[in-house]
Parts: sequence; structure tokens; C-alpha cells
Amino acid sequence: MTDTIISTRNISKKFGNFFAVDNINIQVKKGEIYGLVGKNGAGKTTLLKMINGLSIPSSGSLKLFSESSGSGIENMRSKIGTIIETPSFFPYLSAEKNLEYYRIQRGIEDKNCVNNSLEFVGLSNVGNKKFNNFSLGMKQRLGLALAIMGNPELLILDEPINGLDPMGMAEFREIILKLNHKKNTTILISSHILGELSQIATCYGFINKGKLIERVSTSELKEKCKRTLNIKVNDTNKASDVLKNKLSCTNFEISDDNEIRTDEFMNTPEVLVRTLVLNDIDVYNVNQSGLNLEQYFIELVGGIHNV
Amino acid sequence: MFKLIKADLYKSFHRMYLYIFVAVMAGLAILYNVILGANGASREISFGSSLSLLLFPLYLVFSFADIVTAEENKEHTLKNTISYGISRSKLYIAKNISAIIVSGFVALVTLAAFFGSGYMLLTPGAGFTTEFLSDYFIRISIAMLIYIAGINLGTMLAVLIKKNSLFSLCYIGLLMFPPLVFKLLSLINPIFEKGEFAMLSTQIQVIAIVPSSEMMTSVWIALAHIVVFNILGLIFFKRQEIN
Repeated sequence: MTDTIISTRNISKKFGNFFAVDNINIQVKKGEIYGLVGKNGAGKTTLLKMINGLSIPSSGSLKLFSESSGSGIENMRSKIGTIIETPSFFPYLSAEKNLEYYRIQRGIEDKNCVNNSLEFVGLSNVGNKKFNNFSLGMKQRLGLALAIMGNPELLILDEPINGLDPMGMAEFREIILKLNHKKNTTILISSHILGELSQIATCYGFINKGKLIERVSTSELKEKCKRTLNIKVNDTNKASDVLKNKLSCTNFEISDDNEIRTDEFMNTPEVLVRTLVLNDIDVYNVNQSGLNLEQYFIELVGGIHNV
Repeated sequence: MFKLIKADLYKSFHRMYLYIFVAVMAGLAILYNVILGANGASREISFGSSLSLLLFPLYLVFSFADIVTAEENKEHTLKNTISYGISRSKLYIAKNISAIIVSGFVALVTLAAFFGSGYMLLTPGAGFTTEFLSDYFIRISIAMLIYIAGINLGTMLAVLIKKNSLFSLCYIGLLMFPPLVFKLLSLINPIFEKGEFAMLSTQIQVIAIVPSSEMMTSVWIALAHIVVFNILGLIFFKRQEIN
């Protein structure tokens, strides 16, 4: 039994002179929902494809379930369920026949796994409808049905909620959480829809220009994105003295633009403002701020123009 | 390997296209005998002349590589298989075997229609002896080996070329043009005749006319093609990026 499910060491993928993935070290632990965040072309899909064996790394190494040999990794991949990019199936076959094809191919003896998977994703009533007549939402569900067929220990999902309507997204989220909570399935998921991702992920890896720039747990991210009270004043030195001496507040920071930030007095900003004004400090502006995942990511990569 | 072949057969035999293909081939085989019968030809003439048509199926066998392998590129379904950790070598060989089995099914139905209609509609003819039949079946068997080489070429091209239309064009081009090039080159140096002779499209025509004693050359040439196409296909497939 291993605690680390995926471990890469300096894994890279080079196309010509361009590094799509540049020396990435990533660790995904058992039971985690690891959210991979990055803009288009950041290298998320390439990294996931290398983990899945669809793309061959230019350099670096990969461990899956502690296996690092070629054949060992190949064997371990049978413990993984995957959706990479748009789910693809044979257009002339029904959902059931498509899954039956993969059941036979994978040597899964339990014939009920096909119907169980379809039922789990809410596709048990589509009958003989061919895959090419499916809506995008149905295709995504069928992709997930294949991914979960055979009870994988790890799910790798690349943009699985792309194209889903709000209801579909909520259902998808529920399915993911159910798998994680009930079956302890480890999940590595990439998504552009950061609002959705923030509702399920237990840790995040931020990728930019092929590099993993940060890995944070949900609690660390919460700390980094926490709400603050921002007060713009004429004299920050004098204001900091007042905060320390008159209000016994030590938990604050001063920014370059004469702004003081603190996570205290969030519910009583008037007390802070009154004290500053009574001590001859001009207060120009008071506001509250806090980052969500999207804002945090934008800040991390250096602003909206870099996203 | 067995489960990979079984899955491919499950998929192929759930496809209407295959049954339409079989029906057309069987229909053409029957039509051939109907036309010959209407002109008073015997079974001996029908079977004998059918050997001159062996080139035609060689241009069609790439369809089986298309059904089994090329469509996975078109539909991007290969990622579902590879990401499950199935060995690329096993998968490649399984795809080839599956395509051969599917083509075997089509060949069986077509030949059954051809022989059945021949026996029902045509008179035997003076030369329709056991020796004639034995010689005929040997030539047909060698043709099958050449068709298998054709399927292997098709599978290799299916791995190399993602676009279906380009894949079929390349297949036909590779069968048609190299013999012509060797023919032209042989005008400069007769040694190039050997190159022309070693081509699959030349061999499939040679086996209709060559004496029985020289048929082994065709067998070796077909086997050599099978080995080369499989090795090259495997090398390409093992390095391929799957989309």
C-alpha cells in the first residue's frame, strides 16, 4: 500500500525547441483531489498525457503507485480511469456497446460493470441511441462512465466539465465528490472553471509556461486568499503607531501605496477608522478584499495580461 | 492479446458497413458467374479466369485496416486503450490479427458465394478436374498471404497517417507507383526488374500465371513484406503521440 499515487521527477516534454512541460515535479497522494490550474497551453494536458502513457516524456521519470519500471507503470495504469480532452467513442455504437467493447478489451469479468457505470453517471436510460447523436453533456458522462468502470483507484480528468451546463456541472461535482468520499478514489483534475474546481479540490498545482510554479493545499490557499481590511491613509508610519499603541493591533502590513492591510477589525472597521481620524490621520479609502482561486491564479502568473 | 482481438471483433461485427461490404462482394461474385453462365461458360472457365481478378481485392483489403485501426485515429479512441496500460506492441499485433480475421470472414462469404453460384449455375467443363481444383486453391491460398501483407501495409499506414482519405490514397499509391518506377528504372538497368517483381501488386498477378513450381517465390516475398511492415509499424506505433 502506497501513500503517493503519482510522482514525477523533472518530467519534461519538448516539441522542437519548445518545452511544453519543463522539469515538473508533482506528487499526488492517496485520497487527494488534486486540481491542476493553468491557462491554455500551460502544459496541463501534456503532463496528464505523459502520466497516462499517451505521450512519451523527453526526459525525467514517472512513478505510479510506487512503480517506476516501464512494464510496472504499464500494469499500474489499469488502476487509472481517464478522461483526456473530449471523450471519444465509436460513433456508430450505443453507450452500452461502447462500454462493452472496453470491458472485453480490459478483461473485466463482471458484465454488470457496464450497466453500473452507466447508472452511476445517469445514462442508463439512453437505450440504443448512437454515440454520434449524444449531446456534449452525455458524451462527458459517458467518458466518466468509462473512466470509473472497473473501480479505478485514481481518476485523471482533463477539463471534464467543459461544455456542461450549470446543472450538469453540479451533477458532475457530486459524482466526483461521491467517488472520493465513498470509494476513496484519488483524483487529478484540470479545469479552466476555477469556481467549480475550488469546490472540490483538496490541493492545487499551478502550472505556467510548462513549469509547476506552486503547490498549495486548500487550507494554505485559504490562508493566502483570506479577506483583509485595506485602509489608505496619508501617513502609514503614524498609522502603524496608532494601530500598535492605541488598538493593540500587530497583525497588519503596509503596502507601497500608503495602504495598510489587516485581517483584524473585519466586522468593526468603524472602530479602526474612528481611532485613526481621532489621531489626526487622514483616511482616504477603506475597503475589504479577498482573493478567490481565479484571482489568486491571476496574481500568481503576474496579472490578467499573462493569463 | 486474445481479449484485444475479441473486443475488436465485437466492435467490427456490430458495424453495418462490414455487412454491406460482404453483401457487395458476395453479390459481385455471384454476378460474375451469372454473366459467364449466360454466355455459356463452364465452371473451369469461371474459376480459371477469376485468377486474373486477384489484383482487385488487393486494392480493397486496406478497408479492413481502416475498420480496425484507422478509425481509431479518426475517432481518437486509441487514447482510451493506451491510457489503460495496454502494451502498444500487443495492441498493434492484435489489430493486425483482428483485421486478418475480419477479412477472412469477408473472403469466406465471398468465396462461398462464388463457388456456390458456380456449382449451381455453370457446367463443370472438360478440364475441371481434382488437379485443376488443387492448383486453383494453392494459388488462392498464396493470394491470401499477399492480401495479409496488404492488410499489414494498411495497418502500418493507419498508424503513420492520421487522415483517412490520405491513408487510403497512400495505400493505393504504394501499390501502384513503385512497380511503375521500377519498370521505368529497368529501362536504364535491367536489375530493377527484380524490384518490380518483388512488389505485392506484381506478385498478385504473377501467381495467376506462374507454374506451380515457382509459386514458393511469391510465398517468400509475401512473408518478407509481412515481416517488414510489422516491424516498421511497431516501431512507429511505439513512438507515436496519441491524441
